[in-house]
Amino acid sequence: METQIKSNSKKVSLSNKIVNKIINKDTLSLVIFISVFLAVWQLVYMSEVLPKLSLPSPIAVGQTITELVLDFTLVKGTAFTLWRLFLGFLISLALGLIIGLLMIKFQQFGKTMSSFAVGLQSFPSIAWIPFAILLIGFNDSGILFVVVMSCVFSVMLSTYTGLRNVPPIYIRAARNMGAKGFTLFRYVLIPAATPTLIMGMRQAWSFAWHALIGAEMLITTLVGLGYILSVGREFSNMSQIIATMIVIFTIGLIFDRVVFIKIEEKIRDRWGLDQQKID
Amino acid sequence: MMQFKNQSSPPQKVFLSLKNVSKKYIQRNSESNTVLENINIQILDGEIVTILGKSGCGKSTLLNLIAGFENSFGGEILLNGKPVKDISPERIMMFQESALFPWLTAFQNVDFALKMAKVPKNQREKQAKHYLKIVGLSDYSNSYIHQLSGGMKQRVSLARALSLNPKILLMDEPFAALDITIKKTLYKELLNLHKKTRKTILFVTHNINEAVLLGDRVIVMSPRIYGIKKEYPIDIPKDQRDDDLSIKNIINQITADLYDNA
Repeated sequence: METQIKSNSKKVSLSNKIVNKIINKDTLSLVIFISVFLAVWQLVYMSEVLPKLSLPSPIAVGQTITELVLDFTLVKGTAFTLWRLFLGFLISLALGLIIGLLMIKFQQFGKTMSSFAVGLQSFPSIAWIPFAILLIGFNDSGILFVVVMSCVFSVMLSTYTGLRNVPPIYIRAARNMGAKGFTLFRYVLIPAATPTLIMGMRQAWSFAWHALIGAEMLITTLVGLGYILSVGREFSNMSQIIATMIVIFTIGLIFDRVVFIKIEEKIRDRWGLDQQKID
Repeated sequence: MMQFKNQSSPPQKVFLSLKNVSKKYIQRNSESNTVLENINIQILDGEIVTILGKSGCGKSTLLNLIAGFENSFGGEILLNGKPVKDISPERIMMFQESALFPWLTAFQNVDFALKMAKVPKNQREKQAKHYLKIVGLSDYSNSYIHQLSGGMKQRVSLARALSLNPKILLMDEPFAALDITIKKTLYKELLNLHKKTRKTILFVTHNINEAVLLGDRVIVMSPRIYGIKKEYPIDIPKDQRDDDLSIKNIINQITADLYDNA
């Protein structure tokens, strides 16, 4: 039996090595992918199928990025956008967790609220914008409102379902050992619900990101990546538009790949969730 | 309990006593569904009693009542003379499936129990290590639960249960999902631990061999009568039960009893 376990742990470390290799392979293929993309872009540009004003060359966009970084437009825009994103996400996290817990505490409220939340979760975030403008106005709070409305329901629902689906046997065992009230909640319910919570948070994060750029474009506040995009459109400055799009893409990629994937992998590994799938 | 007067050991006191215990579930159509009726069991301090029965005979329900998981039942359950109310770490349940927390390591699982038992922090590490050692898992204290085999999981469960120093250990088919060789090792280990700790153990199973191998007494339950059909004291020393002829007789008798539908 023991040798079996040891060989299992060998397998685990082996599979970790394989995973590392895959990550390296992933990075490699990403680099190849981007190079091919840039090459195709350059070819299309040189073929002059599209007017040069509509489609600038990759080099021109690269120059624009440099310029926009050096005159701090992009730096400031990114900083403001990220600040709004963090703030909106944190507010949604707090609100979603609190309401999710209330849904658990008051069952009938939970039932009703969860059907509402499912509907509101798929409500297009951009559709909140006119409402936000008239209710709050062209300011940061208006943007935050749209961000929160677009992602708070994911947090709420994942809190609710995560806690509701904690296997009763864990709760029973914990109560048998003397855990109750806050201790039970803090040391058993929350960790048991964590995989679901993390998935909900990741979804909420990407919803918030989508909503934020849209809101920044339409609720003009003179700063932010979305605002830079809309300025680019007004001045027909395609280089600026593409440059900003690249920044937006990179930020999204970094957060999803680096932050959330890492957290999720760590949890899945600890719980053995991936292994169960393979078995 | 006539059988015990004949034993040579000095009379022991009754530790757990069930008096006319009954349990009914009310179904949706408000009809009641009797599971247990007039159960009377007396368990002595330090005894291992196995409860044997086919599925649906209410043996697990009985254990749940003693554990305090369900509070509405008829009759009386007394532990040390005091009525059993609610869940308590005095009566620790070990489940068939592992109820260990997958987000913690083996060590942290035992440590959690000690924390619940309000053991001071500076003593917890030493004690957790101690309990993992007595179930033979010192080398695996930093493994997460999914990295352990089924038998090892149940050993961690046992370490966790013992670390709470319960007055009685309630075991609900803890070895049912394991294969036979691992089961046999665990029987030996459980009996050894029992010799050392003299914990009172109530062990529920549907496996006749297991019941006869582990129990000082085997209580056979039947779903037909919602209760106890017969009780078998087993006087053969536990380390000689593997190849004793009279054990085979008892097993045959119990088998006949269990499958006789009267």
